[in-house]
Amino acid sequence: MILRSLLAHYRRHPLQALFLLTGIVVANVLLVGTLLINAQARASYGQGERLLNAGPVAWIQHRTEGRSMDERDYIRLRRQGFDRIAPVLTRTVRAADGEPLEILGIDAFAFTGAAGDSEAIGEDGFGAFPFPPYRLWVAPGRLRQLGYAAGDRIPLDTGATLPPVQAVPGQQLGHRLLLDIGALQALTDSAGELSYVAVFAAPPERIEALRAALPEHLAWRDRLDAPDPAEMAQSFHLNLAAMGLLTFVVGIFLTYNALTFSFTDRGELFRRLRLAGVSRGELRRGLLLELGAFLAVGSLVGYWLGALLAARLLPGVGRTLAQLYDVYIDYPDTLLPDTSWLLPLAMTTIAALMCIAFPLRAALDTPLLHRGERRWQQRRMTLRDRRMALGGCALLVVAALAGSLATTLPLALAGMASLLLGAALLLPLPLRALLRALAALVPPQRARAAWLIADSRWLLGPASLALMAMTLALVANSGLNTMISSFRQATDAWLEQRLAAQLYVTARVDAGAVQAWLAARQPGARVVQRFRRDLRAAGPAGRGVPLEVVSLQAGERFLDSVDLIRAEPDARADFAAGDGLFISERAWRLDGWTPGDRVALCAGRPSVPLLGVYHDYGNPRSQWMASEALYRACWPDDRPAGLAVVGPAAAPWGPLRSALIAAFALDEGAVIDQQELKQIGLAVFDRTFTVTQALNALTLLVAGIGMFCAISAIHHHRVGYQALLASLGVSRRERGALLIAQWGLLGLLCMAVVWPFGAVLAAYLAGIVTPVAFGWSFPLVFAWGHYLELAATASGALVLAVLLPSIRLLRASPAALLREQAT
Amino acid sequence: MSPRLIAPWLALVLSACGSEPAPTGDTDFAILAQAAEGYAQAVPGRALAFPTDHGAHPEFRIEWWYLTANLTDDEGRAYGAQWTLFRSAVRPPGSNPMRNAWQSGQVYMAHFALTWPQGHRGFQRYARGGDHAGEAQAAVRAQPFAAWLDDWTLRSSGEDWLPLEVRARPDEDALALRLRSDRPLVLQGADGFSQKHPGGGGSYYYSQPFLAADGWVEIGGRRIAVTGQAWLDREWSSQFLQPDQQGWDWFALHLDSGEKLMLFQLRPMPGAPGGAYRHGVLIRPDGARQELGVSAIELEVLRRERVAGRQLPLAWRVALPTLGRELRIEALRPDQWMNVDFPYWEGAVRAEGAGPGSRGVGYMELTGYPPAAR
Repeated sequence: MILRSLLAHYRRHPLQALFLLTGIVVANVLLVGTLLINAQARASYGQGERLLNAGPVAWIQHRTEGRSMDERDYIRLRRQGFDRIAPVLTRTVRAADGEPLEILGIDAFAFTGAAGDSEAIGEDGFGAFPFPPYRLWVAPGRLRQLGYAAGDRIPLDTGATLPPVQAVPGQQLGHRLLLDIGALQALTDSAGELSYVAVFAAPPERIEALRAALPEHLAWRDRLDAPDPAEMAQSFHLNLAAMGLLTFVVGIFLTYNALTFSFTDRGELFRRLRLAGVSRGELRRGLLLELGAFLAVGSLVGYWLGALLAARLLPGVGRTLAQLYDVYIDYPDTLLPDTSWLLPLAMTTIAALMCIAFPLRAALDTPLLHRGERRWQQRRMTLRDRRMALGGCALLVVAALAGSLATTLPLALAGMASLLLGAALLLPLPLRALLRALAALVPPQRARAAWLIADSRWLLGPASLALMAMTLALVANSGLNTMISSFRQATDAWLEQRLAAQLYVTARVDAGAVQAWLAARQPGARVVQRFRRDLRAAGPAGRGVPLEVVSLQAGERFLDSVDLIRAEPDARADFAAGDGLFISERAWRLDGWTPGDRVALCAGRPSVPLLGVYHDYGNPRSQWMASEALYRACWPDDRPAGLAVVGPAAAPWGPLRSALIAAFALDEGAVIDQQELKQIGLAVFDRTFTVTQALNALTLLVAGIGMFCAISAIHHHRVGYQALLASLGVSRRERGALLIAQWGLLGLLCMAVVWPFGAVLAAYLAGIVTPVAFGWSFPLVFAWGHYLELAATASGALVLAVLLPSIRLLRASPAALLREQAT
Repeated sequence: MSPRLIAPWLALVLSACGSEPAPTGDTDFAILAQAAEGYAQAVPGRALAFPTDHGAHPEFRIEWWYLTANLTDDEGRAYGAQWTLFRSAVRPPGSNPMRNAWQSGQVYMAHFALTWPQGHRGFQRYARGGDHAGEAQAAVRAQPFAAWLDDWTLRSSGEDWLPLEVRARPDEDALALRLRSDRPLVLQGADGFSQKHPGGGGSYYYSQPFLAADGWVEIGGRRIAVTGQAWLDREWSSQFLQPDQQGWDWFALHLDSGEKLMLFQLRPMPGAPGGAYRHGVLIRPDGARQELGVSAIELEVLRRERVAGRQLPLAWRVALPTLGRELRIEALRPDQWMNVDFPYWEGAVRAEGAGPGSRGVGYMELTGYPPAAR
């Protein structure tokens, strides 16, 4: 009975029910979405590296990590009777549009036998996969991401095309593409090479025999020793979860807002019910039951949308993970049902209960008699604002503390959350102050302006929560945008500096031959060799740290291309003399090496000091840099990973590049010029942040929706004011202008809060979160243009949100409005 | 001649090379009749040359080295062993640019099976041909002869063709036999050309049916010394079956008289006109051959048994009226089912009858039997 009369309110005001639902849905969508994505990724990590549906128990690879092995070693093992092994070649090629494509080359015949059960390749088997014209197997999600359809041939930047695409669902291909090993060797000019040999489950004695049979130059990598991708990608997943939490908070603000309005509106109803003999307990139960119903429906919709969103975003997440960490996750067609689904429900329920506590108490505590109600409410609002401001200050203190102490990502993220929430909670106070200051500025004879400001101050009471939600989303948006654009500029500048050579040759060409060729064509141009290898070094914390060692070519030009953010005295001179290493920022920040430490670069040579720290943006692995001489002294047998050509900037590099390709019969993509390489670097950067930007846009959308709901609710509430204004003779046009002016003013004032806090958040992200998460730091560059854009977007959203619900108000006749107010 | 097991495997390989999807049904062997443009054709009148013809013929589409052995241990218990290597060209040699060994266009499949008094196990492996700078996962060399896929090998012990050695070891089971003979090769059909179609198409076909085997089998890790008789078939061609043939029943028998008897029938598709096509040959101990035509062979199924969901004829009455012989052929075990990608029944059999010319041991192969409703 009670519930029916309570719900009857929503029948008359369906929009209010919609707003409450929207709040709950918004709280759930991204939270559920990001949780599902993270759960899916974790499930992929949990299964370990998979080849189709079979999981290798170990890998055989060249003892020098990162080096190809000779496929004859594999054939010899086969001839010795080891049949639970399959050869794999991994290569990354670039599509014509710049997208890196990670391709696994496998031998379908070996795979079918070695993986043991034919379920691994599904019922249809390999079909046309292993024979010309071959098939490129792609997971449906990845195919959609690439923008191709089954049967298409993806063009590469080398001018070649890949074999026809075949969409293969349910094979756990994830981000990677699958191709016949012969086709991939031919495509990438790597005849005779394997990346590794996958070992599948076999009786223990056979596994032991296989290990014993390995020649000296091959290494056994057990599945148990493989680096844990979950650990590597933890930062990324935490960041994702943080985005989900942010919209959760926004959604809760909206829920609270909607609840407050619906309770205030029903004050009269509550009083009548109480006077009719309904006890406080019964009323409370009724209202809680009502909330439960909204929670159930809202959560259901939120979950559904969240799952939809997760499925849409997953390929983007996979791409980011592949580019950041070399970690590959599966893109299933349906997302895992995971126990983590309980978490958003529990969180929303608890938050909603907290939301309802304040208005519920207010509703139950309201004196049954009318007298003094208005003043009582005013007092409550002021009290609330003051409490929120206090809470906000406390949170800012927490943020400052967490920021200065943060050494781990969770702490940094907690600090960031405190900062965001603190900013939101503090909002009403400076807004009030700003309005007061404005009011003082307005001359008394401008009555309408004075009224507008006074009324806006009143409006702050009911609207502050909606404004806070919007501010939260805007601060987050502007902070992230500033962070990303700063990072991009830093990467851009860094690439400009680091790419000291004009041409980069990725194919295996003899350096001497190229030098001889150059001497005739372009005197003054010089060929330098670049070396790299993978290494596992004992880190300062005592555990093994996987890292890569690269050589820096001799010469001022190259030495100057490395910008040191920390350096020992005479660092550059010592480095050039081979008496020390530079380390990447990640090795310094995350692995704990510090300039001044001494490390052993290779066996049989004395340890060398760490001389300086350099930026290494976008590299998810720690890096050591040695002078070419030192590198060659350590590993005299290493073949160069590539060549670079340096020379006078004025030389005709374009024609030279073409001539070089022609002279050595290279692929078009095997010689890359400086600018092209930079473009590639930035393209990869942009793709890496696609998901973050998509989520960021979503938070803005959420803020817009929230604003729309809140203003609609407020306007419904202010029907009386409109009626009053109308009966005072204020024309419809003037009322419209007043409305827009009022909300525009509030919006602008909000931006006044968004700007400084957005900047602080960006600084927090750039200076604390990113270094802790990825080991990259960069100077903050404020993109003022973006702020204008944001202000325009926010104002646009505001105006739209004001206009749409106001049209009804403005159209209605004063009499009708007054009648509505009375009911 | 024996079409043997090439059909299902060809279906796999050919479907993979860009033609229509493989007919995977057990009864659909139409692929064997596919046109073979670009490949060499078997024609009568070409004299086989050894040792060259022991090796692979990549210009032909299909080829096999097929060894079966009927063995006994010290206590007279019967064992069986099958070792088979199939080669198939995915496309005519030279028709596609080859930039690495994986692109050789030659695919090998090996089957290996052991039958012992208590059981049977079968295995398969695949590999591509192709010379990886001196190493090959699967290949056949003519001189000195060696055929292998991984560590499964059949090869000459020395420089000469005979004696041979065969080895295979998947996991806990293994086979190692020496195969000797003082008899020459038997050229089947007309000097090694075996006609398969009225129009003249056929295959090159020779056998080494008089092989004495000794060595051991290993079953579940337990090694057992064995001796017995073995039969090696060699055949290559580019085209075999007619499209309306469903499958075949094939017998290769070592008779107690010292003769060898090979018989087969090609069963037409249900509803196809005409009856089963039958053919046989009796090889005397001195190598002399006597061909048996359709009218000279009577085949009658005595008993069917349900194996792997199929009703298989595991006991037969074979009558050869022109020779005045009647044999009752019975499978050693019903479960000699090869549960490979394209499954079939192949196993050791015993022949009973009046007189040494109607008794003996051998191998039987049954293909193209569709799963039956219970």
